[in-house]
Amino acid sequence: MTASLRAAPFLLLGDARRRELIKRASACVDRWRREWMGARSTMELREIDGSQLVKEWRDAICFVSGGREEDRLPANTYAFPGTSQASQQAPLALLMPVRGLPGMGYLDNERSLAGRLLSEALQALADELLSGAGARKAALERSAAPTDQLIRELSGQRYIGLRAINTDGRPVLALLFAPATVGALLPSPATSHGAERIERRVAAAGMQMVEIDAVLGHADVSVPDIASLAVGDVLVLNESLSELGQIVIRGGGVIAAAAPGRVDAKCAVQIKVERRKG
Amino acid sequence: MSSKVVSAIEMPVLSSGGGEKGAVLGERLDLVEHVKVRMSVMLGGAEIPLGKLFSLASGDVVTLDRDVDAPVDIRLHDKLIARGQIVAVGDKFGVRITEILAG
Repeated sequence: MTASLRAAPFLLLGDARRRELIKRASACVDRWRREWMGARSTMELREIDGSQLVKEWRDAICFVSGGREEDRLPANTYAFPGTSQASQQAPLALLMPVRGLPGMGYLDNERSLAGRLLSEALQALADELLSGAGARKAALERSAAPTDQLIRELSGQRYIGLRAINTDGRPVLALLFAPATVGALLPSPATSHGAERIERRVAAAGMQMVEIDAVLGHADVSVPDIASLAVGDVLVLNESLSELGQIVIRGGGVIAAAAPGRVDAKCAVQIKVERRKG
Repeated sequence: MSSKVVSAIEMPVLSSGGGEKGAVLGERLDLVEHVKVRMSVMLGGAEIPLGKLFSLASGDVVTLDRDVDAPVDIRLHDKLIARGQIVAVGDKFGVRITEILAG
């Protein structure tokens, strides 16, 4: 499978969110580094695009986090337009040079003490990063696929690459974040200081008219009953008189539960429970 | 124990047409009597600005485009199939059919 390498994975993030992502990921990496590598070691995270990743990390050892269904981030956490479902599958991928991590040796044998230490360290980093994204811990597995092929696939699915380098400029690790993980790591636009700008944008479209429908209820009817439906028949709905109806956007989803009523000679509904999400 | 010969089966290539015309089920609706479909009873609709939609809050009242004494729409998969009057059937909502729409 060949996937195109897009050199601008941050295209839809904007500079501010891009800096915020690096800041948040750096904080996670920094906590992990202090615990596993000691205070003397320093690291800096920088953005890296797909082409560079392939060029620099094609020989690296790749670990992918969250192969199990229950480890996946919710599909609706955040997704760029056009993001495939496949990109939701692994919240995170880590690339490690074959020489291993500074001061921790090689991964020549995963069963050796050094190998287990390295695996444990990488798992701790994945946990730290995913915990920052509010996701459950996920098992980190060494990928059997050729690293360059994996990088191409993940880049094609808009995974976002960050490279951790030492003070001497040597790459230590590369992190590949799924779009959903990026969304979870970044503050929601509604709670950040960017909310005002978003509100202004919505306000600009505020006069656009939207059609909504008020649904009183539903009746589940058999096909023969529908065929024999006649004037005078009474359909009994599933809903009791005390139950609320729904307000739906025409062609869209439910936005609120509402009680039916009237305003002068017109039918009306009163919103009882808002449903902002979902 | 007798031995049996096991051999591969080649499935025939099928193409539409060629047989006698006529629906297999015909009018046998009893065969699908267990199949339920969901009908929705629409109280009415409204057109509101996007800005107002985003500011809707609990307690807000939305006036609909239907008169109180006008029949409500009964839809089947977004298709209007009948109209009727809202009634109470015990403790449930009900709709007395007043009009069946053709097609």
